[in-house]
Amino acid sequence: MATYNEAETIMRQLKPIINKCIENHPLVKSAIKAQKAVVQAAPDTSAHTVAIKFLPDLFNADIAPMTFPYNPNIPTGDLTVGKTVFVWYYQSLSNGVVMQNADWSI
Amino acid sequence: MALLTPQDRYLDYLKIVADPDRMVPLTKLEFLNPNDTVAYVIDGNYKRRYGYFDSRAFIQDGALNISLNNGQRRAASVRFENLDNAFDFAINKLWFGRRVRLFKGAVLSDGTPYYIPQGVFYFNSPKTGWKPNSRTAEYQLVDKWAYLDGTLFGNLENTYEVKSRTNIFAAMQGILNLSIYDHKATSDYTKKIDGITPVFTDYYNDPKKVVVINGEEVQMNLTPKTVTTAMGGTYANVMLDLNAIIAGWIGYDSTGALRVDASADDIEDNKKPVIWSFTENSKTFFGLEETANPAQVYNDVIIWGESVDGAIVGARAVNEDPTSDTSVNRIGRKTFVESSEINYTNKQCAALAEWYLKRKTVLQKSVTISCSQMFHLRENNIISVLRSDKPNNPIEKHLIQAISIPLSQKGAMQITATSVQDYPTPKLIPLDENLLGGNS
Repeated sequence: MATYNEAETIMRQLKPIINKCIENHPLVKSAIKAQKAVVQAAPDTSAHTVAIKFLPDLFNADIAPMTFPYNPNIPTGDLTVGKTVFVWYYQSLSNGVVMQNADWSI
Repeated sequence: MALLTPQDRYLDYLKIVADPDRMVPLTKLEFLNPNDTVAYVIDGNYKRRYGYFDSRAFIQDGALNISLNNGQRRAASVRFENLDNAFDFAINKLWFGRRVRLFKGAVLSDGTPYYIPQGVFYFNSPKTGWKPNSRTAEYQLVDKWAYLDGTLFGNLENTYEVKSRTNIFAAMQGILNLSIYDHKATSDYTKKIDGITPVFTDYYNDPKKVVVINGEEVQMNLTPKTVTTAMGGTYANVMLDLNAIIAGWIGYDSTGALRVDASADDIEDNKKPVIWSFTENSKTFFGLEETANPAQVYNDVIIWGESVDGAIVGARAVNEDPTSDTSVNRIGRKTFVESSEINYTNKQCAALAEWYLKRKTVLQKSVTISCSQMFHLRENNIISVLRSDKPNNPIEKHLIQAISIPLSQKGAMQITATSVQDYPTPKLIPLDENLLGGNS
């Protein structure tokens, strides 16, 4: 008869597989996710990109700012250095686009 | 007669495994130092004496499972007879980061042992048992991918970025060279996530293998765009994303080296050499079961992607091969669609579609072969079976997908394989002709 410990072990072993299945579910996979970032430099208006750092990366000086394309309709005031913005992406952060201002207060 | 050359010894091993009545299977676990030299060894021998450096433990039971995946491929369970508590999960005994190399082998005709490596593993899920008459320690062994996928190590503390036009293989090697202590590049072998030099395919290093992106020729071994992995992801996510760019096979091999193989070579499995032939009369063959899984058969694969300039790319591979039992003309069009942002050219989508079609259209005929223990078989290789139960006794070739070997002396080995005879000749339909033009 299986014991509680064995059940725990099986659960621990299955967890990554189940997480992977959830990640690969078409609905979750196609969902748009958002992550907060802070603008690090003035946007490159010819390439339509802006250098940002994601929030926890701000605490690590070794992480260089990353360049992402931005939404052409975002107000220019939202892309000044130090502003917090949302990066939207689906499937992988490689698809990220700086989408909107994230300085919300509710 | 002493067997001196490696060739003689290997040939003798083949003769021995072909005759399981004569074979004495052996199992050996080498416990490795951080620099991958051997610290000590235990095997199935229970006659060790007390007071020796390698304790009185021996391997009592277990199994090794190998499956052809991108990622975790090898796993084993092992039970030690742990009389002197030397194999408890504790610091100074077995602890985080301890690697073991597993060998299986046989006694050769000159009486010497012959071992073949089966993988390098880390310990996971320790379980110790104590009964009045025995003391055991049971471990799950996981291959070195566990140090990349977050099982034992490998979660990203920050966002991980591989810049556009970076050499994919250099980026993979770069991950392995990171220190486990501060996640920064290190040249200290013992600190690296994996110090063993990986084996990369040279298929994409050909300067003629290029893709055209925005009018610029980019070599196929370079990243076509920046690959970013969110924090909380794992190094394995980065590895798999990089691997997806070349649509390759990635995983740890039996010697403990990370191996990336091109799937473009993989299309022609028929031409691979046969590493074992089973016949009804051979002593190694115990039986065969064929499993049909019609729910997972697809004969039409559409892959969508996105090019770096935002345009839609895609390809469609259809099985219209009249010799195939599952062609569109026989069973209708069973479509499988996948979209992924990592596919960036029509050519790459076509390679992936062809590769998926090859796998998805044959799944209905996977076979499980039960046989005596043999240790040189590897995933993604060919075995053949002489089907004397069928008219004209055809020889059927199968591609090994999974292997399960018992670590004890007795017990049968299981091989799960898919038929390669059924691989159809895929018909590739360019995206603009079919998907956009409606001309099927």
